[in-house]
Amino acid sequence: MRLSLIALALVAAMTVAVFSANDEELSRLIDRAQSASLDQQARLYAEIAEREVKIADEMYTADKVPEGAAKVSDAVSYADKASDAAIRSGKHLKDTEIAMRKMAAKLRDVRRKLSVEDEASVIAAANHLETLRTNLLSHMFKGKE
Amino acid sequence: MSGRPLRLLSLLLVTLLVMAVHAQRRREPLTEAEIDQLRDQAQEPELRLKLYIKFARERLDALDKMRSDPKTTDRGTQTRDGLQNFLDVYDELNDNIDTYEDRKSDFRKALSSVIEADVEFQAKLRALQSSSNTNPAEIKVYEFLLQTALDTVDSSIKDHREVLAEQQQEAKHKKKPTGKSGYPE
Repeated sequence: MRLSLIALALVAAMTVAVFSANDEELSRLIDRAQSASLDQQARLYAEIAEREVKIADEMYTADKVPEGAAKVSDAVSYADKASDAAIRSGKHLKDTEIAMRKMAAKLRDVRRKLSVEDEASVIAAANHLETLRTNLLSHMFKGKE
Repeated sequence: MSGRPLRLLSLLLVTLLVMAVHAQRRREPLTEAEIDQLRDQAQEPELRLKLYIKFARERLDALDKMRSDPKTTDRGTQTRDGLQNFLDVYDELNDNIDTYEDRKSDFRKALSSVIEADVEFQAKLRALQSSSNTNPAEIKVYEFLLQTALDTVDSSIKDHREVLAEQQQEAKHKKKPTGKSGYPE
C-alpha cells in the first residue's frame, strides 16, 4: 500500500515536472517571438500556436476541459499573430498556411473526443484557422497575379 | 402574437439553426460512420491508422471515378474539392502518427502499412499531374492543391520512414539479451 502510494506520488511529480518544463519552454518561445523581427514572427508564432494546440489535446485527453478550451483560445490568438506577421512581412506565407491547415486537422480530431456542449469552441477555432488559411492563400496568389 | 408570424418566426429560427450547424460542420472531411469507426479504435494505433489509410484511399478512388466519368461537369472544381478531401484525411493521419510517436507507442506494423499507402498515393497524385487529356484552364483550378498534396505526401514518406527506422532501432535495443551482470552480452 505504502509502495503504491509512493509510486503514485512519483508519477504525479514527474507529470508536474514535464508540464512545468513545457510551460517554461513555451514562455521562452513567446518572449523570443515578441522581440523577434517581423519576418521571423510568423514562424515563431505559428510554432507557439501548434504547441498550444498540442497541449490543448493533452488537456482534453486528461479530461481537463476548461484548461483545454483555454489553450485552444490561446492557440487561436497566436495563429492570428502568425498570420498577421506573415501577411505584413510577405515572408513564410506558405509555411504559415501549412501550419494553419495542420492545426485545423488536429482540432477536428480533438473535437471528436468531446461532448456536444464542449465541442463548439473547438469547431469555431478550427473554422477560424481555415479562414486564416484562406486569407493567407489569397495573399500568396495575389503576389503571383 | 397571431399564428402566422409565429410560424414564420419558427421557420426562420429553424433555417438559421440548420445554417449554423452546416457552417460549423463545413470542414468535416469524415462521415459520421467513419467517425464512429475511429472512435471505436481510439486506443489502437494499428487499427486506427489502417482506417485512416482506407479513408484516404477512398477519397482518391472517388476522385479517379469522378474524373473518368464522361458525365462529370466542372471537373476542375470537383478535382480541387476531391484533393482537399484527401488532404484533410491525410493531415489527420499524420497528426495521429505524431501523437503515437510522442506517446512512444510501438506501431511499427501500422507504419509499414502507412508507408506502402504513401507510395500508392504518391503514384496516383503523380498520374493526375501528368495526365495529358486535361485542358489548361481546368488544371489551373486545382494545380496548387495538387502540388500541395504531392509535397505533403513526399515529405511524409520521408518522415514515416524515419520514424519506422527509429522504432526498429529501439525495438532492437529492447530485445538485446542481458547476462547475469545485467549488462548486454
